[in-house]
Order: sequence, then structure tokens, then C-alpha cells
Amino acid sequence: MRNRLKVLRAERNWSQADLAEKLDVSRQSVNAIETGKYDPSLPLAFKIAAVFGLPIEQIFSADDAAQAAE
Amino acid sequence: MTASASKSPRRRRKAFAMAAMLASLGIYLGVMVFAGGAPWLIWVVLFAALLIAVFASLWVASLDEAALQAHYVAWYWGGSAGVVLSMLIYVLAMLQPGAFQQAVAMFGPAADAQLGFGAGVLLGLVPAVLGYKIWWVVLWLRRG
Repeated sequence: MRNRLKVLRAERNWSQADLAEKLDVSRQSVNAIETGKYDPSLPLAFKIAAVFGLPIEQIFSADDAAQAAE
Repeated sequence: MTASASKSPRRRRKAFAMAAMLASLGIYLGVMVFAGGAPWLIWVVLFAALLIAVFASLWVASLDEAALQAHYVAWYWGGSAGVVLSMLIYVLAMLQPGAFQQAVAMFGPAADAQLGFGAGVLLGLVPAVLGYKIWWVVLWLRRG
């Protein structure tokens, strides 16, 4: 699973800790999601989408979908 | 907004549960050390164990999903590796019973049934818990 969390966070000038606070998770969890070491559950993915005000598919994409788009 | 400015309710619950769990553990160990053998000790130990279980449950409930998953993975792989280590020590002890009895005798009479039972429980528990904690620390450090 790929995601654009780091880019979206940078656009809003948010630190990992800021995003963690908004999502009510630990900063380590945000880092784990950003770096692809942990794939969030569907409820957390929806929460992330709500925080950024974007549909889920604009934040997360399957590895093969991302490769096909390249 | 910075995360350090105010703690979320989940983080406050986590901090409280962790502190209470450690305090219960401290009471448990303190009583064991300073009141060993007293007849009322069993009730204090049982009560402390109950407190530890309650606060440990609160602590687990306060973890976010990525942290919980890290603990599950660490317990599965680290704990399983610890159990394998226990089995290895057991097999080695069977092959070299003299050396094992000498090692146990350092802590008391080797023929003591209570000591033997305690050593058996610790042999099963300590490597599994150590394996779990080591695995969790490595996993969590890798996540940054």
C-alpha cells in the first residue's frame, strides 16, 4: 500500500506530532503509516481522509495501481 | 498546534494506566521482599496481581491500533522465540542434569520441590517475556 501522507502533511505544514494529535494516535504510528511499515485499518484510513478533507483514494493506493499509473 | 501542548484523553489514559500498573508492580515486589513468609502475604499478592491485571487491561485499551499490532507481532514472534529457548534449555538440562542441578542449587536446596516448581515456571516465562520485549523494542525503533 502506498500513500501521500508525507506530501499532504507538508502542504499543510503539519509535523508528524500534529497529525498524530488530530488522529488521536501516537507519532510513531503516523511515521509507521507514512513509511509503509504499517497499513491503517479502514476506520483509521477514513479518519485520515476526513482530516485532510480528501477521498481515501487520493491518499492511499495499492502498490500495483501506483506502478500501473507510472 | 503542537502535540506537546495538550495531551489527548487517550494519551492521558495511557499514562495513568502505565503509572498505576508500575505502582502496583512496585507494591507487589516491595511486599514480596520485605514481608516474605508473613501469613497475610498471599492476600496482598493476590490483590496486587488483580490491580496489575486491571491497569494492564486499561493500558492495552488505551493503545492505538499500530501500537497494538506491534505488541501482537512482538508477542507472537518474540514470545515464540522465548518458548523455543526454554525448550532448548530444558533439553540441555536433561542432557547435563548435574550442571543444571548445580545452577539451581545456587538459589537454594536443589531437592526443594517449591524451588523446582518456581524454576520451571520462570524457565517458561522469563525467556518468552524477554523475547517479546526485545522484539517489541526492535519493531518500535524501526518505526521511528
